[in-house]
Amino acid sequence: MKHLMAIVLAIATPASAWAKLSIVTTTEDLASIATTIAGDKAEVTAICKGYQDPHFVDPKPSYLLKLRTADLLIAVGLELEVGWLTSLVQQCRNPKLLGTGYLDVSQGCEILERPAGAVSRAEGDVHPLGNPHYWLEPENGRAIARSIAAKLSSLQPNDAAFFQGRLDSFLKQLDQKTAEWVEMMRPYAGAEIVTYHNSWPNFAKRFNLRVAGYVEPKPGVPPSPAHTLELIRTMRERGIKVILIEPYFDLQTPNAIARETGARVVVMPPSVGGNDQIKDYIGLFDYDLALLTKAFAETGYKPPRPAA
Amino acid sequence: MELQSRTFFPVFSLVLGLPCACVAETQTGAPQQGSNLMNPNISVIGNLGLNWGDDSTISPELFGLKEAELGFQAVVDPYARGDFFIAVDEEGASIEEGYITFLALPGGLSIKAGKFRSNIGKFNRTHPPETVFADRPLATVEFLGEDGLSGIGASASYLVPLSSLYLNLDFEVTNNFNESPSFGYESDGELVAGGKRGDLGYTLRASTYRDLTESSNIAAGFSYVRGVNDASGLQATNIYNTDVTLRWKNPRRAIYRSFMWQTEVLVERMETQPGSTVSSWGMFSYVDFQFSRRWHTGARFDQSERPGDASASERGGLAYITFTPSEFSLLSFQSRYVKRFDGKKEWAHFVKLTFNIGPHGAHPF
Repeated sequence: MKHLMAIVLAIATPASAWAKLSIVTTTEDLASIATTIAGDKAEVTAICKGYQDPHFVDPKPSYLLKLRTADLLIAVGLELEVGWLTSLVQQCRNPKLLGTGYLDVSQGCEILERPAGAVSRAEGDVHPLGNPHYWLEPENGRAIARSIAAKLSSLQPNDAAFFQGRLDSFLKQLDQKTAEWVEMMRPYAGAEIVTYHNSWPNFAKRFNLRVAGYVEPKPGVPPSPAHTLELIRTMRERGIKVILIEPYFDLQTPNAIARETGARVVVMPPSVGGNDQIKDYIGLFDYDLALLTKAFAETGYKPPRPAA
Repeated sequence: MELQSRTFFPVFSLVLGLPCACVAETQTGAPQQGSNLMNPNISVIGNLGLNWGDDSTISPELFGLKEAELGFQAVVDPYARGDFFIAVDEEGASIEEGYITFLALPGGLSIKAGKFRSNIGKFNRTHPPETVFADRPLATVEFLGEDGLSGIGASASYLVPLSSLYLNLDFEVTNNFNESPSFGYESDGELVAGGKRGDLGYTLRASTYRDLTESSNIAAGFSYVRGVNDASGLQATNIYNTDVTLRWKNPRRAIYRSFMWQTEVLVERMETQPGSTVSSWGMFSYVDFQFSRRWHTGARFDQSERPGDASASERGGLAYITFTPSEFSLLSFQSRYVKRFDGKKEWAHFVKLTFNIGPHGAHPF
């Protein structure tokens, strides 16, 4: 009788209840969080690898094969993917992704540098909806995880408790790690750095760093000699010893600046998968902060003395 | 429907229906049409040029506003999107393309209706300001016309549900094609579209794509086009086109280096009178190499006969170097050599300057 009931139950259960969700994310950071929340209830694939510049991804037809059968597409939003995702979604022939199967996880996150007035490309390749590199802040990681859990629960209500449990576990782990990371960075509070692209405002705010300048004169604009000289002068005056660069940018100008200023160039991946050692979202902060604190220590950073 | 070489697509928020205000209350309490958010995305591409040389086909004037292309693109409703591209030059304005695309159809289908560039090869679908060239390849001019092949009608596109191979099938039916050497005839010294009311043009295309490595990939397509070529609609032209594109770009250094090689071969069988068919052919092949973040260089080889005339051919080539200050503008210096059908050797030199204003669009693939 038990066997009979099991067979009847199996037949009566909709196929969708057994099938894994197919999730495509635009970046590996989102794939990592989605995998953590969805567990074995979903197959998760990322389009842009962690070592790629997410602004410039070729919309290759092979991505259409992934998107064609996806139940859910998760994007960073804020026009980070505007150069390539639109055409993929329009051509993948998957109506789900035009409606409930699309999730922009920027909703609910703290977005910095939202332009207050009119913007134009005279400012370079600006993002009119705000800086899209917001995932580099654990608190926003929490918001992203919550958004994903809520969306998965709406798509697969039977597994809502499962997703909630995994979300709770992730948030707890992230809380513990965030406390560790903040403590790890406490000796360098207020330290000034230079970055290649304006990718790190959320990261800098969270870990109390000050970005004193950029190698790019404006977002998306290659370094110019005049700007480079000005940046060297600024770094010398302020004693800035760390230049952060994403792995997909050319090292020539940062290395030249480092030679002139005695600074250290730190190739710091902004995404999961930026190198083989960064396996997940928590691992991204572990890796980057270890790299950064090592650079501060090796360049002889001394915290400002507290006022008497 | 292949990935299009369109520069401008609407912002993603519009496509995906992010929050928008439709009707707003004014301070007087009267409702009014609320927001520019519902307006289409508007873009303009300016295509300016200088040309000089002894080539008989170029403009006698040094400077020229070759074209300003206006794009209006928006989501129509939950089921479709609309795209209009209006070409404006010194002779006036014309709708280059204007169509509605139904995206949310089941079964891997999408349907398009309106005026559109025919899906023959890859190059024909690219608007003039958006090609890497200041001109168009000889074979496309000789067989498809200076403006390329287009028609008014409908198309269906089907993405074959294979898990490991991209295979797309397209079928288009239109009024007979625009005035072009292959599908038109001379009347009072002018080229006019062939056929009479009810004569239709047909286009079939199969295209595929495969990643070779993480950095390289190959795309290939086969197209077949049929339409009438005389006033009575009794004579037909058939064109068979094959295209192959090889690309290389290291994703870890995507903004600094890339390489592309593209070749199209076109064979035409044209009925020049009842019972008499003439075969002719043409081809072009070009390479484009991006050697630094802002610089590209490339070269093209051309060879072409004429529709309905295989007795002579012309051949030539073009070389260029292009500087792109940003994604939104470029300056290109190009030189072209052609040995014409009559053996005359001609040189043309171009400076192409294009710039676009409007929403950030999709990068071409």
